[in-house]
Amino acid sequence: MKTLKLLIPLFLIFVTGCSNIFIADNTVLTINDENENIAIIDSINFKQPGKVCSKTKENKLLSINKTNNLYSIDMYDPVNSTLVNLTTTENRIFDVQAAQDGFFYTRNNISDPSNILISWSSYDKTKERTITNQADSVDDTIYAYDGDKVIFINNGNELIFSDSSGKRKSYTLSFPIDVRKIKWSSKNSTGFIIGRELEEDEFNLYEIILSDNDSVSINTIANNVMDMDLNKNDELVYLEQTSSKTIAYIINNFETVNKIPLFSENIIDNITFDVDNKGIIYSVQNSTGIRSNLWYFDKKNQKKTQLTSSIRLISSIFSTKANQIIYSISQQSYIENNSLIESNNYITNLIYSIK
Amino acid sequence: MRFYNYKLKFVAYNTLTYLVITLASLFLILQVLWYLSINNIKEELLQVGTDVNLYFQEKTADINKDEDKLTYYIKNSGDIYNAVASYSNCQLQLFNLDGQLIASDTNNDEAVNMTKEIAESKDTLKPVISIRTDDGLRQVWLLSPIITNNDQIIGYSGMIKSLAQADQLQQLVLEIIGAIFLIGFFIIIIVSYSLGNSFIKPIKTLTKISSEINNGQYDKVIQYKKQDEIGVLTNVYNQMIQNINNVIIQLKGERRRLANILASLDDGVIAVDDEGNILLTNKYVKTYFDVVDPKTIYDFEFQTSLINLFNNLKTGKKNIIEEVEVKGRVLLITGSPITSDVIEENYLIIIRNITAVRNQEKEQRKFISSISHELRTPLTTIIGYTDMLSRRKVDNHELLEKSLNTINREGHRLVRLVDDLVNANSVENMVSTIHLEEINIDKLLEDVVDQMRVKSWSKEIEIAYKAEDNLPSIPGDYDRIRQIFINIIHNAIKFSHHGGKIDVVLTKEDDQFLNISIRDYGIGIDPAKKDLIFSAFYRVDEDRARNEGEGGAGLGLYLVKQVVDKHNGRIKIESEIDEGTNITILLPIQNEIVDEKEVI
Repeated sequence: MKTLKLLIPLFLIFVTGCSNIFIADNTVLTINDENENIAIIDSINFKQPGKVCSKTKENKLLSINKTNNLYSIDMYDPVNSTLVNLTTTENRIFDVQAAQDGFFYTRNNISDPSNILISWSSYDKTKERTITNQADSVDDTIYAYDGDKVIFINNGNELIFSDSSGKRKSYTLSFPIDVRKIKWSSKNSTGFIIGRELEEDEFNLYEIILSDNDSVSINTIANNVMDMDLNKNDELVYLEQTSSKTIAYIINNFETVNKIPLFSENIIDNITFDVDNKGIIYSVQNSTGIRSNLWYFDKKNQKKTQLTSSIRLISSIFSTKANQIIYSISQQSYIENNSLIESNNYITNLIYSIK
Repeated sequence: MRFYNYKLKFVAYNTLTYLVITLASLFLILQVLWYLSINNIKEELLQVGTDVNLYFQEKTADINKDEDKLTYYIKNSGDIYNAVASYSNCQLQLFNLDGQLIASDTNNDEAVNMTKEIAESKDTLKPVISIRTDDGLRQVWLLSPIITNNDQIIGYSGMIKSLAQADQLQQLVLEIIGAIFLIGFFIIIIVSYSLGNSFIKPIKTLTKISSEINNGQYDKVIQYKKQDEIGVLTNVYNQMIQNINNVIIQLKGERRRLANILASLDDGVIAVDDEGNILLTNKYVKTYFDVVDPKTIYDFEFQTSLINLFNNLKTGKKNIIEEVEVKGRVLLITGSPITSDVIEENYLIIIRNITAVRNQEKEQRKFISSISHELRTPLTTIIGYTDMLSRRKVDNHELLEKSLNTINREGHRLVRLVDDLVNANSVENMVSTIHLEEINIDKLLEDVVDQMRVKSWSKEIEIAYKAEDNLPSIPGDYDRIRQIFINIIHNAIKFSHHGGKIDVVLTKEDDQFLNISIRDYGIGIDPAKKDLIFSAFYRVDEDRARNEGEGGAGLGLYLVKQVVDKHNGRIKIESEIDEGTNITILLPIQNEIVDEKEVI
């Protein structure tokens, strides 16, 4: 009985306390979420077709477009939202990376669609060459590095640095990696790869260190990594997926590889530094699982601001100047016969301001 | 509700605790689930509202004025709706500033009534949320204002999502937890009952053994092997039982010692409480009063004297002494209170058999009477003759000689009497000290017969001695036993005819006694007086004994009786006038000449 006398008031307190969790029926409550904010859209342009793939030093974007079975590589000027064609081919183009005087791109051969080659072309369209051969059997993901070099991995588990003439330097990796993304520090011989070992499901973040004797060391930084970005200050930001959410980490010391958590959301699948390095732009999947919203994270005040409505993001996000981002979307997508049907891709040029 | 059964109490408390914890947990889980559900839905609907806002912003980025934006909104609400609704997992409706529906699912023309929400949002410029029930289905309604860059509301987006899933989940959780609770309820009862049993079992054993101890079984030990708290208790309990047992053994020993002491007392003892209940007694009390297992003072035959004594003690009198005669015994009864530290009053009554003392006194009186008579007779004669001689001048020489002879004779008689007195005293002394040793009676009798044959020669009396073979030795005082046989044979010679015969026979009477028979064929004794023959100073024919110069104090056979009695033997006399006398003595083969209380 004494126990009961003790428990009853506790119970009542508990019930009373819990009542605040409830929204009683027919009661209208104001939602006072302080942390979220919506950006002001100053201008938005999504008329130019294409999927942006790379940014030049002049902050122009190289994009890939497909029209009537022809693939074209275009240069997009975000200032005036104009598109200039650089090359057109029947071969399928997978990726394009801007270099100093030209651009590298991965393509296949009509005669041998499964074999992917890397070509280089000058911006003025006067020069063009293929810098890999069939034996390389390269991945479709490449990364332009240090002016006129490109980094890629071939089937021989070699990390290859090649210039536009095809002159290359190879480093043998200790295990084969299926590459999703490559970023290389411009200041030292360290790079980062998001890839996975063969027959593994998860993509991991690897640190690649080249030594003077041409040996390569591979260190696993994190597991189940969705995306990463490396800025000019050699800061690396990446997304690590846990069972319930995605956590954004930043590493600003490659020696210690000390990762600092920045923020987390349900599912973040894209991340990039903004060009002035004051914030981070990322995409958060919404409840549909297909669409995403773009958000801005202010590194100083830790504030998050939503930049876009739900979009079907199909490219990386590129920051060309402060409060301006370029990305590609699929404007119309729908489910037909349980398949996702997408229409043409469009380059979106968004200029925003944050309150 | 009170429980007098520990097991039930244990079960009840466990069940109650389980009930409370389960209900509290259930409530908490449901609350949390509900909160999470609402929260998730809220987040989702908020996102849709934000999408509408941003989409609207995207579409009106090139429009500067709010009025134009408003116009665009009204005009293109359908497009906005289509764009956002196509990927939203909720019901979407767009409202104008007045709360009128301007875009919705074409299958649903009826707008939900969001007046309250609109009013609230208009004031706060923030999204509002509410929970409604529509056709029995609960829904979350979220209304989000569509705001321009200048914080102008140009319309509202309303998002509605059913709580059916959340309700179903809650229902499912409730059912699952309910089922678990019910199963757990029965399990807890069963487990509590079993646990209660296991807890109670050693206690029941303790109780059972305690009852047995209470009924006098002090040899019980509780078996419990575990070394938990119950184990410690049983160890202490067993130790306690052992100590009680030891105390009881000690008390029994004390009681036995007390009983032995009481048994060893020569006196009867009765201890009673102030209600007359007998606390203890000894066997002499029962013997004296012929009462078997008396419970109270009132159970005794002569309860009058005892009750009176008891009542007098109760009134506060101390050291009461009374003398009563019971069944031929003279008893001296003394009563006094027992002083003790406790408040209760108890009394002690001592009963002393003073029959022998009184008899002895009687014998002494009789002896004194006999002596005084014996003394008076010669003294009277002496005084008479001396009176005569002193008062009268006696010329008659013959008379004078006769008188002097008489005085002389009576004087010697007086001397003999004095000697007799001294001898009587010696006999008492002789009998009081007995020294036991193993005696070959056959050899002793042979010696005595040889010795007495010398005395019998003068009367030509034959003394025949016969003894059985292989007779055992007996314990006895050699000198005393020799003396008694001398006295008996001496008497036999004295009272036999000239040329007579005396038979002395030694046989084994039984396993306990040797039989010595001395038979003469002389003058015999009057059977009526044979019981007196062992009395002190008794002579069968006083005159004859006196006249024929058969001196003697009459103490010989008295001595024989005393010595035989002292040896726990028996003496019997058979006699007929002129046919002789047969004296039979039984002497015990095993003799404990101590503490034989049945003297008389």
